[in-house]
Amino acid sequence: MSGSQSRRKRNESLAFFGTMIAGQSHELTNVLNIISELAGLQHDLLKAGDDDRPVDLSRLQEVASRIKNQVDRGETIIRNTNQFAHSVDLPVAVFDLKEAIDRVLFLAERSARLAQVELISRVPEESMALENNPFSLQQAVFICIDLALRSATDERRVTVGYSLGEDGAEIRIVSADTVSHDDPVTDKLGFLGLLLADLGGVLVKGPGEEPHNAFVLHLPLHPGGSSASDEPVRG
Amino acid sequence: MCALRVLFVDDEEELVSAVVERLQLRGIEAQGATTGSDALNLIEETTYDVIAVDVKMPGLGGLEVVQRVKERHPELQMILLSGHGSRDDAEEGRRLGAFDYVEKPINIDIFINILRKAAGSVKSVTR
Repeated sequence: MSGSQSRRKRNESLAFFGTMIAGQSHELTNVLNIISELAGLQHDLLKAGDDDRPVDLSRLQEVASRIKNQVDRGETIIRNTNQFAHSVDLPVAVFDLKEAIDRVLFLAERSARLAQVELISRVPEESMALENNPFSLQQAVFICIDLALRSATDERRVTVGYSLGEDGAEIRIVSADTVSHDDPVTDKLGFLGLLLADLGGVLVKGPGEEPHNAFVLHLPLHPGGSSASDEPVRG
Repeated sequence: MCALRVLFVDDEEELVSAVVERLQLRGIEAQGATTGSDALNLIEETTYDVIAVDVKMPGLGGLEVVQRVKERHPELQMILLSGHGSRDDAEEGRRLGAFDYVEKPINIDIFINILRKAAGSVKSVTR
């Protein structure tokens, strides 16, 4: 990797990390705002009770249950954010591909909601151990999801899944709409190719190819492992 | 004195539901909407004194809602709800004609004061 490629990788990685953390901090703020209002509502309901009109305990219980749901939501955000933050700990680690992809889907959900796109998981139930750079893998998958979200027009659905082969995993990000492959996308795909090369993987199919709606990433089970294709990255 | 009529718009349904009930418990005729387009439809059907709308929502965001409402109903008072990092947008909303902005989390008493001030600044027009 050249000096300018290394600088770009560092800058893009930092931007990706920041985008994910900022997004989840907004989500957590939403949760805290809701808890604040529900706690306020409980207080209001207690204050509204008097001798003629006793406090409705079932309403208080109902609001308490809604607070608990938000606490659970907050815990899920923190757990995913924490695991994501720790994915930079080691440049190469053995990790579960299913967990990594599920985490990217969770982190990308906010972008999908704001883009009004349905993000659908087709991730298999089985775990799959992969030895590689978990952070770069998540970044590569997110780049594809993000490009698909930005191009969504009519159908507004993006499906993410993977399948396992003897020599690695094939990750598919498929949009129900055509994914743009104009200049900014081509530039991003160039960077994606760089990232995948670092992971020992390859972009088997990109939006530049018919039917212009899919990204297929191939990753080896181990760094330096055999790849499905030795062809150069295609847009 | 007529009750204040408020529409509260935010994409977090639980937040809308809690704030609307808290306003109602204080004698305010409050309704909620979770999208900008639902809010625009309600505004055409119902008379409100003040609309409080979140800046950042999927689809029609708060700024677009302010712009569209002000084009059709310039007399209607609007308040933007902002979170961290959206204060610039809230300032832009004031430039578009919003009465004020309120940062979340809301202090309900301060929020109601701002709603009353907004409603008092221009008499609502029955449509």
